[in-house]
Amino acid sequence: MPTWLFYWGAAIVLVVSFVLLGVLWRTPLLAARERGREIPSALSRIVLGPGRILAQVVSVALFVVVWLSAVFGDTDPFRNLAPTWIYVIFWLGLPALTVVFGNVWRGLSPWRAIADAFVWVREAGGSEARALAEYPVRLGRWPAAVALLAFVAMELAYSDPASPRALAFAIALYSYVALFGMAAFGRDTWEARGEGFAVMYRYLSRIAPLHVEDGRIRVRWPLTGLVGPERVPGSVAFVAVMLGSVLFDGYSRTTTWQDLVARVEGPYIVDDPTFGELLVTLLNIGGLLTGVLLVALAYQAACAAARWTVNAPRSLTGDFLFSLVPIAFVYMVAHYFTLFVLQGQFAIPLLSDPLGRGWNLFGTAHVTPDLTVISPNTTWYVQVGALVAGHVAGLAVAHDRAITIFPARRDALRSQYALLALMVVYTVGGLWVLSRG
Amino acid sequence: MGVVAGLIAHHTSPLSLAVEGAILLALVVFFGWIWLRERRRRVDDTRRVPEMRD
Repeated sequence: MPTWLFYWGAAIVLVVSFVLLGVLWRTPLLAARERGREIPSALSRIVLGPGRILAQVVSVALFVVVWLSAVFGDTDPFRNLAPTWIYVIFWLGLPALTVVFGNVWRGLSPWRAIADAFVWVREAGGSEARALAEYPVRLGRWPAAVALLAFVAMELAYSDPASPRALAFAIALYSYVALFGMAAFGRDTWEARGEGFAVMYRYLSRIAPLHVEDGRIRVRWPLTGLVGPERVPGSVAFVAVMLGSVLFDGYSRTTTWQDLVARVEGPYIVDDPTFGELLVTLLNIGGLLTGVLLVALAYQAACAAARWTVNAPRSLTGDFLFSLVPIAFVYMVAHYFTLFVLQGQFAIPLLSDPLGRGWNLFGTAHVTPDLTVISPNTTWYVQVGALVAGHVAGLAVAHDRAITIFPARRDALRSQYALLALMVVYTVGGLWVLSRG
Repeated sequence: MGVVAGLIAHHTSPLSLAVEGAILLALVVFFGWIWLRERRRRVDDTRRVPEMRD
């Protein structure tokens, strides 16, 4: 089937979904189902008690192994655990775990584990562990947006992102900021506002059927956590980084971008390659920021158009932000699932020899990854399916919000025209980028 | 190659060109219909501020 047919087929699916949502989904459904029901309390106690402590110990141990590999291991990225662990297992595997099991990062964050241990020791010694300062409310989630942007810039813009030594430096820097932020403003505050990964996994966990409330695990319908408004400053910027970075990653693989990179780097490649690499990094940063800005502007424009359409008395920007969360997730699935399945297999031998010293700690050092496990056709179908499903989910979340905030159904539906156009643009644009990469 | 020529060039048969044209036309008509309807409504009840909940 020709590629263009997928673009427009996806657009038609969205239009039909929009019509069906308008006809069939007449009262808000998500809010009443957001809390779900409790799982057996004994299971909650085990998972959130000893289970969480065990996860934190393992997480800190792995963190130390990965960092030591980055500092002292082989400089060849394929013989060092750190690049594969960070860019594949952590960056791509955890989002998938999160949308299934909820906010597992709460138990797996090594920085949170270290901070928890510090607080526990202080409290055991009779002292109180208190935050040093009040978090400035106006900063909102901007620090988290900047942190996530820094990480994706390292991955997508820097000329040698898989360099173990560069990763060692980045890990140290990020750890310093994360621990300082938790010490200064409190663990929960910094995780909710400043720790980029924690904020991202919190957003993604709203898709999940499992969540924790008052120290108990509850089960609910998937996507029902995406209810309500999100008005914390910097939230739009944060979600735009999530979406825009993946968009740029796809576009940076097109021949158009590669030609541009070659033209910029070409004149310096022999005489001054370091300067050439610097120019490429700057060019990539420009592309990355453009991708993020485009996503943010498209969303802001859609919300402004929705407000204009219904003559709403206030901004709608915070009301529909959660509808972008499933889209951000499916962008990750569509762009990276092959990388995860193929490159992720290399983690198995690397775990036995994390520093590339010829060790065989767990007897898996000679496991050979199967790189033929997915065909190009399967890849394309998964990409199209994921993108369409994610955008339909986004439409449904926005529709539920619209019929929640507008008592008149006519206003609710009219507010969604612009959101539908936005979803069509995101879907067709996303597929176009994927097909050219 | 011009933009329009580029859009047509990937088609291998007149049928596929017609199908893409029809789908695009349907999308343009759909969004155009919404646009026109909203413009007319805007003129009719431009001062009406909808009730909103949080």
